[in-house]
Amino acid sequence: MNSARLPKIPLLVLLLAIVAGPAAAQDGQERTVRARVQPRPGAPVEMMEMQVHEVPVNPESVAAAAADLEDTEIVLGVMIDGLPMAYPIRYLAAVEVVNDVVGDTSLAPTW
Amino acid sequence: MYARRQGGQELTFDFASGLVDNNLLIVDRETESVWSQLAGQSIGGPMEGTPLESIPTMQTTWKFWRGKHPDTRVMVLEREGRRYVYQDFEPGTRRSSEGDHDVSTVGLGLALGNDSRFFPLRELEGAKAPLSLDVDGQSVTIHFDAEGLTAWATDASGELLMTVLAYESGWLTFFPDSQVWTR
Repeated sequence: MNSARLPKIPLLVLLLAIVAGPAAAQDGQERTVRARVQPRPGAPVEMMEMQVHEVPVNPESVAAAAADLEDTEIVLGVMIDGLPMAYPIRYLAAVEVVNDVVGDTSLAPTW
Repeated sequence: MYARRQGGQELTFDFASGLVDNNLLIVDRETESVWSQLAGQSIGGPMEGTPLESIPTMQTTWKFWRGKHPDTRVMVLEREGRRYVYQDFEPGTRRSSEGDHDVSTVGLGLALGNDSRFFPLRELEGAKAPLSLDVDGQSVTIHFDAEGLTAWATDASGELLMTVLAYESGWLTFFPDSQVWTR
C-alpha cells in the first residue's frame, strides 16, 4: 500500500467540495436537517445531518443605471407581469438561492 | 427559478450542504422539506414528491439583458461569490481564465410533457437560428445569441418557455431520455 499517494484523492474531492459548495456558510443562522444525500460531489448517498444555511429574504435591488456590473457577466433574467428583474450570478453564487418578490409573485432564483 | 407559493403556503428556501445526483439541494423553513434544484421537486421530508412551479428565465450577459429590458431592476447583495464572466466564450472550447469552468458541453435544456430536448450551444452556434420545431405537439422556437452567450425558447405566441442552461451530463441525469440536438 502506498501511503504517500492515498490521501491525494480525498484531498481533491474535499477541495472540489469547497470550491463548488457552501459560500453561504458565513451568512445568517445555521441548522441541520436529517436527509439521505451526498455529502460531496460524486459521493454515494447516505443518511446524514445536513447543514442548512440561511439566505437573504427580500434582497435589495437597484435600477439598471445604478448597477455596477460588467457587460459580459452572467445574469439570470426574469419578467413578471411586465416587470423585468436581473439576478447577477456573482451574488447567486455566494448564496445559491434567494427569496424575492417581483410584482405579486414570490419567487426563488437558484444557481 | 421557482414560485415560492405552494398549495396556499408561501415557502422560504435556504441552502443546504448536501447533494443528490450531484445537484444543489434547498430546504424550506416552513416544513423543513428537502428540494432538488434541477428536478424541481421535494426529495425528502413532509412535502416529498411535491413539484414546484417553474418560472421561465433567461441566463445571459448583463449587456444583452439590459439591452432588451432597459427598465430592469437588479438584485444587489453585500456578499459576492465568484464572478462568472465569459469574456472569451467560444462554444466547444474550455475557458482558461476567471470563471474557469468547462463550457464545452453547456446547452439549453427543454422539457415539455414527456418530450425533453437538449441543444448544445456549440451546435446552435453553427446553426441557422432561430430553429423552429415541434416538441410534444407544440410549435417551439429555439433562439441563440452568441454575444449574449445564451439560448432560449419561445412558444407559438412568442412567450418564453421554461428552459435551463445546463451541462449536458447534468441535464441527462435528470432527463435521460432527452434527444440531444445536432445540426
